[in-house]
Amino acid sequence: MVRGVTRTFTLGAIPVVALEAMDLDVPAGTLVSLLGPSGCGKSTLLRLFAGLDMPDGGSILIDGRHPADMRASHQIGIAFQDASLLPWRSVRSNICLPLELARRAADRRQIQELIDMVGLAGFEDALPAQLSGGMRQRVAIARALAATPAVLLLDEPFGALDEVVRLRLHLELQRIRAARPVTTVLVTHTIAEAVFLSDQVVVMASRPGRAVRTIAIDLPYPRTPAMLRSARFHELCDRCSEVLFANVTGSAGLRE
Amino acid sequence: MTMRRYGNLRSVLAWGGSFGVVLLLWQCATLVVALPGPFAIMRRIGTDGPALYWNAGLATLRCALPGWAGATVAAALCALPATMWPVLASGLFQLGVMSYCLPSLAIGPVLMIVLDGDGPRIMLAALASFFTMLVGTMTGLRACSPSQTVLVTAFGGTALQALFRVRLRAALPAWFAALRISASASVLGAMVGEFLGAEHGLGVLLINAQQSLDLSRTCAVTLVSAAFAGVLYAGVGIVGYACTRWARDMPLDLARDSEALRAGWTAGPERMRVLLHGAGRLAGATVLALGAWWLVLRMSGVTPYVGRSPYDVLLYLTDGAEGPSRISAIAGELGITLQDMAVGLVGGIVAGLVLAVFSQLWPPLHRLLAGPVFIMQAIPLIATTPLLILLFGRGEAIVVTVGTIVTFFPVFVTVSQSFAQTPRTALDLISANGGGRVDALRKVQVPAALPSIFAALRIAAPLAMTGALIAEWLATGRGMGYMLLNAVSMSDYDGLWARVTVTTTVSMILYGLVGLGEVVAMRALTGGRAR
Repeated sequence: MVRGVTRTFTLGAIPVVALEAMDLDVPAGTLVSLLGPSGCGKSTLLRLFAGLDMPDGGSILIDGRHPADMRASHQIGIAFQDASLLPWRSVRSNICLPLELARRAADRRQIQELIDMVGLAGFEDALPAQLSGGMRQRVAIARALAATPAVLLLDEPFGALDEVVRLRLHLELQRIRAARPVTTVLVTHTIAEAVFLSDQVVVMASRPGRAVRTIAIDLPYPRTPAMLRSARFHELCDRCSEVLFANVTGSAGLRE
Repeated sequence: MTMRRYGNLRSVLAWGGSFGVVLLLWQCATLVVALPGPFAIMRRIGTDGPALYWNAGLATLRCALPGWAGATVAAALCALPATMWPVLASGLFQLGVMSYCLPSLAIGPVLMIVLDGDGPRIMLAALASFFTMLVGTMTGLRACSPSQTVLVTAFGGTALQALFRVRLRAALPAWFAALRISASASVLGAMVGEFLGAEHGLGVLLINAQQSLDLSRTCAVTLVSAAFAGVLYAGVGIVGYACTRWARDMPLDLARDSEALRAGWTAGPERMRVLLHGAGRLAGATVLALGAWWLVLRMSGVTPYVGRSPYDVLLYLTDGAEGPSRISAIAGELGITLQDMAVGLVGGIVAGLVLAVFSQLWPPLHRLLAGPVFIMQAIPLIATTPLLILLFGRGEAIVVTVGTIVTFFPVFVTVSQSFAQTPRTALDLISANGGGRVDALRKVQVPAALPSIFAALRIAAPLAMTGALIAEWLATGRGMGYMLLNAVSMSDYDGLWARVTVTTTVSMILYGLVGLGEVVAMRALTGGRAR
């Protein structure tokens, strides 16, 4: 739950408002996407959720607790656009990292289940350098889930992947969340991705960074690749893009 | 300095081949110059008894190893706070540069006054390895990406966990590379200390053999020194390889990284601020150096007659009656040294660049040279000066030769690396437009290698200074190197301290100028954008 959050940075002497009076609700167990152009503050908001940064004003509460609290009690799982794996650790050892940080014993069976779930069985002992980009990203997602977090934060984790691998990972994320419904915030700048995965899409605009509209996605679960061709899917995508492009600063021409 | 893999059979064969090539080149060289071949030297070691060399080697290691270890610990103690509080980084780095620019031959006599026993040699070994260790440790601690540490924080890890699980672990490849390079540097430091006077050690043996014009023993001692340094180098290399297998395909270039460290702290958009920053650092370094000088003298309890303070040196140089003549004498000596050094540096650059270009145009040459050049990196090159004197005589040529050799290797290595790192697309662009290999070199690769040349030169300049001083002292009998030691034997302590100050200052100015050249070349190449 986000109430009136503001975050301002200073670039040299110029204050840049990354987020202004932001309100956001993420119902437990749902997936909410933050969709917007670069510089609209969506990654800043995610960092605030993770307790990596403090708001200048307003409050953020997750299950009634502060993000820094959540972080200190190892309740947050996070994955970035670059997989950020530790190159000297094997796949299994990378996935165990959050457990080690929480000083919790790693349950071998549970880790193996995670590895199987992201489809990396047989690669448990491989080093990151031996994996493809898509495989590394799957390790990062498995790692984010390893300590059974209350909140999953995904910062454009599929951004650097090609269309085919991306769709496969979308389906995998959906399958993982069906088995383990964890509250998820996904940062993305791809409309189709946001619509395909989310319960709600929050469209953001930049300068200052703010939420423009929340669009509920009523596509039924489980979502299938066939749905990508459905009329309803396209209708929802069009609504998102309409809001998105209407708020691109100084781009009257784009609206037409 | 790139990480290499040497686990499989093919590379073992390649290594054997390189050794073979070195031996062959050497045997060929005996035909041209009056140099004993490998077999003659083996026979000589046999007649002298291997124990002579073995014990001398152990005596040198007794000084080199503590110095090396001390430098490693000191570098870690400096690099950790510099990483945590970046404000300190530039000052500590400056301290490292200063230690690198202290010519060991100049500071050696001073250390022998201040310390006793093995102290001076241990200190010289430490000074010779400190800067490399500092750069390696700092580079290592900055090696992990920000997102990797943020990740630990996001998962609820503490700052300490981020340090131990990510930062220190990621630092290992650069740290081991520095440890490897500084191993042979510490042997060199200890040997220069032994040149200046000691009971035992390879340096003593080497100087005695050279002064009695015993060519085959000079060769034998040089070879044994190279072997001792080489074993240390290889030992660290193997341990490092075992500990950092995961990083074996990652490029690592300490020469370029040290510049990144330096430029990262000075680069700013406004020229004025950069200048002020530079002036501030210079002033800070000067105060630091003078303070250290004064403090060491006070703490060591040397008699003021021998241990002269900065103020004494100032009085010595500004004396109403004799000051001007003293200054002009020192300036004259310095002129000779700088001239010889400059010729050597230019020679080394030209040789390194030409060979790198040719080996790029004709790959078999590169394969032929890569092994020997890699082996030569493990060898303390300046320690071969006595041998070079016997081979090239006592004329000015010897100073030039030492400078050339010291410069050639880093230039060849960094330029070849820069050529190898040319982006594929840049080369494709040239050939798609109908250009050949020479066009690619002229339009893309040589300009892109310019910063590497400066980086190599920055490493080489202080070493060339030390080499020139040693050659002058042992061979030509003129210039700064000779007069430094002359001042010691004449008990002209004011003169000694004044010359040490001047030599170190000039060495640091050279380092700074070359660094400036590097920044300018980099700016010209990237249009002011960060790499």
